[in-house]
Amino acid sequence: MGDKRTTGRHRVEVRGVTSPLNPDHVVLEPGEIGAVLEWTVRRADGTVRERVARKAESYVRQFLDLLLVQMTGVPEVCPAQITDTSGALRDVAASSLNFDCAAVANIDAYGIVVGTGNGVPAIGDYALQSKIAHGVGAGQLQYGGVAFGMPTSNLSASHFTVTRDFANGSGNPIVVYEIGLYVKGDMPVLLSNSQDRGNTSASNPTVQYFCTIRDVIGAGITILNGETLTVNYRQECVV
Amino acid sequence: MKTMLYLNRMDRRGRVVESRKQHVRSFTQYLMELLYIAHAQIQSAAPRTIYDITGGYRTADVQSPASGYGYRRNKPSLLVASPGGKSQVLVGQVTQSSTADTIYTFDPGLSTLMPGELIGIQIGASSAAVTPTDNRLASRIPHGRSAPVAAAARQDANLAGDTSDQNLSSWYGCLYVPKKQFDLTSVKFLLYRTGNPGNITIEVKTCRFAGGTTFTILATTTSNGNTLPTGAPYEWREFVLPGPVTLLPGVPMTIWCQQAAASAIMRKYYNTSGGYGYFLNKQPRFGSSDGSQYNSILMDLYGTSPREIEYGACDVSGLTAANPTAQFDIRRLFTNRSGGDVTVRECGIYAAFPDTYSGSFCGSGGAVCICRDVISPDLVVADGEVLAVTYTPQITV
Repeated sequence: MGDKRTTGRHRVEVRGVTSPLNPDHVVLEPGEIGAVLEWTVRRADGTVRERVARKAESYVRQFLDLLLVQMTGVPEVCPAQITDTSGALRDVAASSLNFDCAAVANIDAYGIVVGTGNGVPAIGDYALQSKIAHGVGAGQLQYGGVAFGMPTSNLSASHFTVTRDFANGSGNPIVVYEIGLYVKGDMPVLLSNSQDRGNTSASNPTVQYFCTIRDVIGAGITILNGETLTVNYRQECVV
Repeated sequence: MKTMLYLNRMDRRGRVVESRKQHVRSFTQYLMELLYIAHAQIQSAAPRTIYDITGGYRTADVQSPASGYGYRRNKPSLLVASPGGKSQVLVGQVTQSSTADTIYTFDPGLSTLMPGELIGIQIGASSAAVTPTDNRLASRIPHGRSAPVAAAARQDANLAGDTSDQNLSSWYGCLYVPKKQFDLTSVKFLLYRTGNPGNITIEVKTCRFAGGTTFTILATTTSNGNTLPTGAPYEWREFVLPGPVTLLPGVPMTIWCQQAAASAIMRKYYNTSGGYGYFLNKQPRFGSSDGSQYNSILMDLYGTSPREIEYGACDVSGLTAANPTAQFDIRRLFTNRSGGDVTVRECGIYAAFPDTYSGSFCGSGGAVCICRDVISPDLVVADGEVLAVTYTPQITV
């Protein structure tokens, strides 16, 4: 006799716009390092209204700047200068904090960020054109914590994933036109007449934020009030 | 991001005699690992396990010791720039003393030191197909000027001066630090027996300098201890490994053995007045603390070694940005002074990282292979010639 017991499993139902692609279908060229951008819009009841995956197009200059700082081992006594998300040049040296994007909930200063600007990406972009702030006020989205999918490989590719939720509690629809990744850069602080450093503990870090990816979504992503946008950046390299 | 690979072979006068250009095909999982560790700020309580260039595993994270005045969380992960050859590179975090203005950086621990040749662009002789999980070049060409040793021959040895016995009831051997790269094929220890010890098992394991910590068995084999002599003049018993193990310069490796039953004896040098043995092996005792710094075991290492080429500095520089692209260069010169041709079939990039710290210990230096490419057809660098290898990562919006 068959077992007819049931469990209270969640059902994920897609009723809306979906792209024919999933992240595994977005193919980078052999030898390429890139990101696959995937977004999902869920209704308040958890059903998926929109799911799209595409190749992210826009590592911007600061990604290479920070990579070069790490690869060179730039010392704090002669740091490199990198443009932060405010447009200011900042001194940055090699550090464990560089590339940190593990922002917790409510923090919109770094991690995956979203905005409403739709200007064509340029290599020198140092910030989103118009970042949406965290909150429940008009035009605001609630930023969740940044989560990660751990590195894995198959026969041809390796990747890890950075994920963040954005919940719309503003009372009105919000249209997202740009998505980016802001990461930390560690700025050395030297003190006069001392060999000690100004940034003396983990509770007193001297970091600034740097934009490493900016993507523009031409058609926009509409998030109705009560809906949640989930953004995945899958950073990947292909042999 | 796409990366171009430029290979320029130059003659003695610096004239380019061969120039190649190809797209880099093969960034590996370990680049993703290091980026992931940085992006996600992986902590030491749950570090990532990654395979380094020895073929053994290590754990990695971004966390620094909580103590130390003025520390700056500076674990130099992803380090690719390097001086050439045997030049010193500090790979690891060095804490600043709690005493103001007293710093330890000029007397770094052994665990944080690596030779420059192991960091940055590498070349090798294997054309084995690339996979995303390649953790090193398949057949790395080492730094130096030596001709190859094709048949197994003595590579390093500590043959005389034994003054004492060591019972092999527990693992005993040494933390061996190669002065040059070679492929270890067999190990001889000076042994005898007083009973019937049964099989004696040898292991070659990856390890770190501090704490006698061992990680991955790279090779193991056994020999019948019951056929050992029962006294002087003892026997140089050979343990032939099932396959060669590549030992890298300056990278410690544990080579030790243990008896199955009772009374196999290893001969060693015991210096009661202190100081290390004259052989470059340290901390020969594991699992016991008495006299650990004053022993030097007798050991004879056999293997082969490839033809060498001199590694120049690995330069990371030249970032330029002009919409819609930005790029920089990673470059290294290899000079062949070995007296013969060096055939290059692969190249790659090794990036340094410090492993997980423990207590006040700051983590050992290591390196992972973030990129490996096969070069086809073979590129032959004649004696006296220079090979310039340049990687140019480029992003385009």
